[in-house]
Amino acid sequence: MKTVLYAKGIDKMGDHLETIIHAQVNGIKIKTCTSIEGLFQILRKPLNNLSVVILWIASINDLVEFNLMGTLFDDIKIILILPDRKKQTLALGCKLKPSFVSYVDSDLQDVASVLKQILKKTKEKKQHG
Amino acid sequence: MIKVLIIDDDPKICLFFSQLLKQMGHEPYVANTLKKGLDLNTESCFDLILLDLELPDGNGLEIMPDLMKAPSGPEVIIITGTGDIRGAEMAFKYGAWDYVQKPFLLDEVSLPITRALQYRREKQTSSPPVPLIRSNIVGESDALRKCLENVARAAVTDASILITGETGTGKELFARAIHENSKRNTKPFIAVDCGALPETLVESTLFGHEKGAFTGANNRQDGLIAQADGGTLLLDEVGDLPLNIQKTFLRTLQERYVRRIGGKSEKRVDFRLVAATNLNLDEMVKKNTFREDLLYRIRAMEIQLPPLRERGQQDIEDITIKKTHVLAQRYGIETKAISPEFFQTLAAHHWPGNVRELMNVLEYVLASAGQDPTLFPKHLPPEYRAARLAFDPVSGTNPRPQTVESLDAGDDLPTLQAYRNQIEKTYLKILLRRAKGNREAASRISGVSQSRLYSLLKKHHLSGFSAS
Repeated sequence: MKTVLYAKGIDKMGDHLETIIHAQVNGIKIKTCTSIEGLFQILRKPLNNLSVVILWIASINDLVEFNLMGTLFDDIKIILILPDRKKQTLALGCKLKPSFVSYVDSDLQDVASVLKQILKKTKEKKQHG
Repeated sequence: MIKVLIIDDDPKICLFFSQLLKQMGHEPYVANTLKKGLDLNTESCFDLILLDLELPDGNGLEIMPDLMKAPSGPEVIIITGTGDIRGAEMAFKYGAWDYVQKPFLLDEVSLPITRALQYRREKQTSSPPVPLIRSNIVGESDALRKCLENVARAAVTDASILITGETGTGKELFARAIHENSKRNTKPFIAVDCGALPETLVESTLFGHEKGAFTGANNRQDGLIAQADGGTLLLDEVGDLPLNIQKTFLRTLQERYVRRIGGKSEKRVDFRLVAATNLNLDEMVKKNTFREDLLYRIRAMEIQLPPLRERGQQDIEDITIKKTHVLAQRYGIETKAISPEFFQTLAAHHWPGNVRELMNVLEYVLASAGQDPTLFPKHLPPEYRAARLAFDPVSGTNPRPQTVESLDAGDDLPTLQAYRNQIEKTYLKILLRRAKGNREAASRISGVSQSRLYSLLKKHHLSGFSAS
């Protein structure tokens, strides 16, 4: 089970989020991706074993592009971190069918705890067939 | 004139129903065996069938799906002297209108007959169904079509819908189909993954919060219920909703007002609820882990999705073709041809993980096939290839009929039922191989009706019929 963090142009905040996640989820390996093209390559790779993608959205344009990526996010749990709390932004974000939506101005602990829960549930499902 | 077929081997019952139906102004026909009943149903178009279960040539339930498949699509009322709860459940699952046990009073049979015919009349005079947007739902099996009919029925109402089914059966896809076919389709479809949310976050995610309502609530935020205003709210894995939140959500559902955590005012919300789960909520109610009143509210209508193994080989083929095409596009490779043996091997698998499992397997297949233009069983993971060989899961040996004499060799004699089951399963495995998965051939060789064969295969968790 792989976790990918998409964090474009937010180096320090991305690092901060990784630190929070590592503190809550023991032994997790996160692959960080800093461009849409890079994420696209990972999603297109067969047997990528990807279970969760954390999308840190820096701009509304990224959100529009992700919405155009169609079925590439099928069967992958998405945690979305939105740049603002505008209703339109959230509406666009919800089209990606995220498992959880957070915001850049939150303390990001919520992201880590949801990720922990998703990985726990995914593991349980695999164990029970 | 309304035509009613009575399938019963008791002459007195046949006479009673014939007279009753004539008095009601209908035209009765009588068959004393299942075979005669099937023949008559093929020759003539019936509106209603009164079906006994215990007949000389088998159980009425065996032919019920075939009877209902007739072009006239008759309603069926079961009339039985040997009723049991499992038989009744099976009859209703097949679509029986009612289940009447002998002996019965006149009213107990005349009322269901009247109601069944009234329902049929209304169904025939109602406006033709509107085309359904399938939202990526692939397949044409009877089991799937029934679900799609329910989606169409659900879409025209605003009632709360509960979608149930094993993991990987596509509950979210069906929820989306309900939304896309409803009058709310231009408004948001908001899915909440209850299973992914830790208990501490469920409430604020659903209801939103005011600034300072709790530690970390640095800003005021609307919840997803408010976001679904005007549209559809999907509560996925609703069985994972904590009990305290169930209570609050029930109030929101009843009153259609939502209040943020820490907020004083309420906001009116107009949403249609679709809930989905792979858990048995009735059992959870018994164990006090799910509120009965909430279950009552969210289950105004229930859509039960069939597991992939009950959808037949044709659906597996259709999904495989569609998915391999999508995956080939994604990976930037040529679309693959698919060999019949590949399909047969897929059909032999039990698919506990359903469509999702099939998709994962196809992803593996495309990776292992590389540049090969055609998919063969060799491209499948080894455990899936072994399924087609029909090894005995217990002994690990090839199916070989046990001789009666060999029974005496061991110390323990099995029960007659266990022995009979073992022989039956072995026979079916050989039959499937000999008939090469062809249902007509299997029926001809075995002398058993196709519907009976289906129920036997299901009983022994075997699959393997290809489409005829």
